Amino acid sequence: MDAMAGAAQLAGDAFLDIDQAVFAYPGRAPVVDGVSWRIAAGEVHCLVGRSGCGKTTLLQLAAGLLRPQTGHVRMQGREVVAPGPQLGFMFQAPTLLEWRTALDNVLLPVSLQRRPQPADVARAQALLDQLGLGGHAQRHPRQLSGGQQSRVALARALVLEPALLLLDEPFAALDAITRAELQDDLLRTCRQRGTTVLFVTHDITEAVYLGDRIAVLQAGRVADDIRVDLPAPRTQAMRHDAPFNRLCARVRASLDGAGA
Amino acid sequence: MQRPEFLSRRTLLAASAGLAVTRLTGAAAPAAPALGKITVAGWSKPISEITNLLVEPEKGFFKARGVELAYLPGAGGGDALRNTLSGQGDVAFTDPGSFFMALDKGEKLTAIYDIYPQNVFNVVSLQSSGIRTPADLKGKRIGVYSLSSGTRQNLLVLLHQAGLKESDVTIVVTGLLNFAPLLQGQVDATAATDTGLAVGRRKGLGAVNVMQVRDYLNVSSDLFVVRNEVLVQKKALLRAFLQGYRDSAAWMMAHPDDAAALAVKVAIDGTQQDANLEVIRLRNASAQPSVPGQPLGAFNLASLQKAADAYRALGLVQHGIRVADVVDVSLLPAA
Amino acid sequence: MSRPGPPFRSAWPYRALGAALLLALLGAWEWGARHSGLSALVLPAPSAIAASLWQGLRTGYFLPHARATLSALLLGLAGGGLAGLAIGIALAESPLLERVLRPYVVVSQVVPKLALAPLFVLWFGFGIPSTALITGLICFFPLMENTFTGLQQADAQRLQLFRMLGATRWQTLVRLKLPQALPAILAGLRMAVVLALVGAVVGEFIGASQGLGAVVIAAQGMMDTALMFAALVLIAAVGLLLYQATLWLERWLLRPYADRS
Repeated sequence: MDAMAGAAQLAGDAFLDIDQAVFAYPGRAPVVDGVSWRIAAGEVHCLVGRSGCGKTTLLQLAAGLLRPQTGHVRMQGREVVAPGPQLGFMFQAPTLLEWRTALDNVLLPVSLQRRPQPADVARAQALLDQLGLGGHAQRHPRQLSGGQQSRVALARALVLEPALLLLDEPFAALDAITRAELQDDLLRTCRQRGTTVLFVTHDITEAVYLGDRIAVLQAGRVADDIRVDLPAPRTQAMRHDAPFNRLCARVRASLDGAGA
Repeated sequence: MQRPEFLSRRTLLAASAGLAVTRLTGAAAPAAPALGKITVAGWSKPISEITNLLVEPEKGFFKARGVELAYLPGAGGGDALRNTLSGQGDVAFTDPGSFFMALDKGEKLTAIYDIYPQNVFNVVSLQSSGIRTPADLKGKRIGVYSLSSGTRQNLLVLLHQAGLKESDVTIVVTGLLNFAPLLQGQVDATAATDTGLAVGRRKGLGAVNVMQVRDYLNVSSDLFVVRNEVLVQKKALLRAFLQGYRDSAAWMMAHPDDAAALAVKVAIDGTQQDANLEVIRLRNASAQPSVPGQPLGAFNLASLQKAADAYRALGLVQHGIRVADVVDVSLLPAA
Repeated sequence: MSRPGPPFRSAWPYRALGAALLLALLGAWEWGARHSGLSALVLPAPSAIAASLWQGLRTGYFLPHARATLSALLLGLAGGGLAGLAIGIALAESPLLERVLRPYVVVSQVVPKLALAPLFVLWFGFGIPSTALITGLICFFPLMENTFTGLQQADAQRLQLFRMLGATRWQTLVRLKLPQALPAILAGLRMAVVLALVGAVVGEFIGASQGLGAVVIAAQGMMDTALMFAALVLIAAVGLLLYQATLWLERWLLRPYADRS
């Protein structure tokens, strides 16, 4: 798989292609300063970096919320101009609507485009089942725990079966055990659908556990590009093994070296 | 009821009423030895109709008799009586209807002076309506100023004289709209007063039929009423007060133009002198005794008793009232 | 660090205390009315008021009047409330409208509506229409202001969520901003209900032949102070019922917004 991914990259038909993107807010220094990065279809890439290194901005460029001043952001060969249904995303907070049930929240992306059909409802229910929330579909967000709310947000991100999933530190506020469970849920559902994932995090172990490749960002530039060659599917037991910890150390060194 | 308790309550209430009461002391006329203070609880704000009370600082009629006069405004004859019952006022300037109804509730009151022996109420309708007698009012919509006003009570008395009950007509509260609903056809007739009709005419009322209540039962429009205890305690002071009042009323009758000019200053609605003059003339006419030759303030017990009987028949009072028992003519000034 | 909670856990001890306080006050009033020598027409005893109230209820005297007041109140509340809601939404969505209309809205609030009541009676007829209109004008401002403020509170993250999902402006208004503003709007409704009752009753003082306010005026004219107090007791009862109804509505609608149960 390693060779095939490498070949696809070389061949130039990356799923998401960020090409020398530069973005600055008016009157400020560039936040993203000439980033080039390619993600092949079905891969999980992680962005790590210190606070303020521009990872959230890069994510917003990938989503189409922002347009780069120079450079290009392309998805499946076409320029990304605005967010659309081919995109799923999760924020740092679940950002659910408290006055709707969990099922309605999952269906939100659908109901904003058209009237949800029975097929949509079935799909949403299946997503919740897959994430272990099948019985909670009629509950309201305030009745759910933090971890459960994050799962609902994940289901919402996946309900339109997007090709690309963008996540911005979505599990940061959860406790370690819940976070681990959600990481497994994410990997399982994305592998099953072949979703391409770009995951921003400041947690090195999370980046190593989830990612096929890790980009270390520093001051708006890609300072390091680390390939994660752990076997798939991942298991929690791997966290105790030497290869995992070696990779973590490497990322750590990269971050320390990148940090001024 | 013990005396000391009564006095202390009065002092407390009088002190709290001090803010509302208009002092009408003046330095104009030579004063007789001071007998005391009288607060008149009125049924209105200081309007041009009662100019003779309001010009006390300039004319000093009451001071000349040794009385310090104060005026307490009110909203209707019932208000005037309630203020007197609570002790804030000494003498109520009120209408017979409120007087009867208070007596009916067991209050100990006495009327001591008939202010307006002539009835000032009327019922006005458009000439096209064909309403000429009270009996024609059956089944019609009639406007009144308010449910607590003299216009409603006198309308009922008028209806009673024609054998009609309140349920035979539809009474509608129109407020002080000066005949606009009548002109717009929202009511068939309007119960009003002589001054109200004068204002309406001046504003362009046009040709109307007017039924005067006094043509059917000439019941007085307003009386001075006091509580029995006050009557007993302050006989001399009240006598002096009534003398002062008669002097002021006589002056207003003799010099209506002066009164109209002064009303511009002292009355809240006195901005137009010619309007004041008209109102004052009407009040002077209504103050004339119903039996010619009698002095100002004299009672016509017969018509007052008829009115009391009408109220009883209308169900506005539950018990019969013997007017002779509740009227005291002994304080009236000699002619 | 939170304050120490109330000493009792259930509601009944409070209700008992409240009832005991009420009985004590009524008892003192009754004693005072009987022994102070004050006329019954100035301050009637609670027993006289209760008798008048019972009499009126038994004979059905109050029924048409209560119906008239409630009709005017509900009409005014509906009209003024909806207008307030609509204008609140318009001002929140359009900064231009807000700048232009804001001074006029404030002026309309500062001018006492009840002083304009006789004019309304002149223009719109007496009885329920003009009373409902006065009530509507009084209800307008709390709802408008609370709707406006509530809509401004939409948080940036949810707005971004909707933007990223490609929601139209209308969808964002109806499916995000308004539901999020619901607690504020309902608080405005609660305020408006109380004001509406006051507005309806005082509007009836001025130009109505039917209604609990009209009963108060008529009772004054009949020198029947006990009846006047009985009407006031009824008005208070209506007010309490309406307020409680609004609380229940609020609780029911805001159940999903409440914290974890």
